[in-house]
Amino acid sequence: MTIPARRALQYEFELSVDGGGALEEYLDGLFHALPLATSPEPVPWRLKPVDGTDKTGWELMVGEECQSRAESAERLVHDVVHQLNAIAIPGWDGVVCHAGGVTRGALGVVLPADMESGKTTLTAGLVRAGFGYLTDEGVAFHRGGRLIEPYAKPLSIDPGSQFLFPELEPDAPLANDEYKTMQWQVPPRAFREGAVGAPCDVGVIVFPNYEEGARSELVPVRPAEALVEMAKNTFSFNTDSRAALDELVVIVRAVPSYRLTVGSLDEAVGIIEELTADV
Amino acid sequence: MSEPAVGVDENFVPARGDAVYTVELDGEAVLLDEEANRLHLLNHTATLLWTLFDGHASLGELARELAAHLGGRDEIVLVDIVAITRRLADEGLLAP
Repeated sequence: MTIPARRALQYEFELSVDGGGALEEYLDGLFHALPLATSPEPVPWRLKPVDGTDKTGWELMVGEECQSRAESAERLVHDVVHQLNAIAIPGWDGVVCHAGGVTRGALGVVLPADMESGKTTLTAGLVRAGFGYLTDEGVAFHRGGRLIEPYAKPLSIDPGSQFLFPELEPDAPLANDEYKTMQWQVPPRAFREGAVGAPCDVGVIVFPNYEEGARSELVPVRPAEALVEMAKNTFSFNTDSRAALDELVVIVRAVPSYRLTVGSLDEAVGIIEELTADV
Repeated sequence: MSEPAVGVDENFVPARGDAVYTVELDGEAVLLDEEANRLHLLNHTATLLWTLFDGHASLGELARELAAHLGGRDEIVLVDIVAITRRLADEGLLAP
């Protein structure tokens, strides 16, 4: 089979695996929620044996450059997902916040947070509860407004959160389990068909922070405080900080912001369901 | 961060730094120091003061103006705004 070329934000790529087979099919499924590419020349991504055999390991080629190597092709699945983030996010012509994103109806919910704040976990919990999936990594805003462009990559669920989602454990007929040892890469259709949300305006911003044993609670955040928090969580903010700040001001002026202490996933999901119930 | 501010007293004439970009939201300012690439969040009082820094009025004059506007004694207002101004100067946000 040939994996159709896909678009990740504004970056178009065409992935292939030497020898094809189950791994190629698996990767095709991982990225199924990304739109099809429209460019006649997407960037070729290729998993190939280092020396033409599979004796000395595999490498991920992006164009003509080797991005990473591993002992097995399956091990490179993690690298494919994260390398795509590293290329697609800085290439977006606008502000991208390090955030999860979900939809409820026409309302976008943005969940900006540092790494290890439970961003993907909360995003996954909300999608499981029926919210539409936009991204678990980078919320991309179109310039001059509040419109979010979905970046529906597979959700990257860390080992520490996997017990919360036993139904999502990948189970692909691959040569080994190394494709899921570092993280589970979970395509949105593993939740249900049609789990991906459409482009929409952000309607509320929630800054989640996981605190073990804490009571989950939601506290309003002042717009100026929200602006600083959003800026801290904006990719490449320093590249053109004034322009980025102006983009973010439009957003925080228009929508309410909250800080969410997450003590338990179910409580936190319930709070956001209640917050967005009137949509 | 700059050296601790010295000479910030009632005769000091503050001006906003050229490299500082200001955004105000609901009476609170977010300052972007474009040289240091740092953000600063000011409370309402500091924001009000920041907007009055024009490179002409001294802190003594500003204290009298604010005291008349807000109510309160000039010398008490002066103590507060000198402290705020020193912090802003320490952060490198004022013009040299």
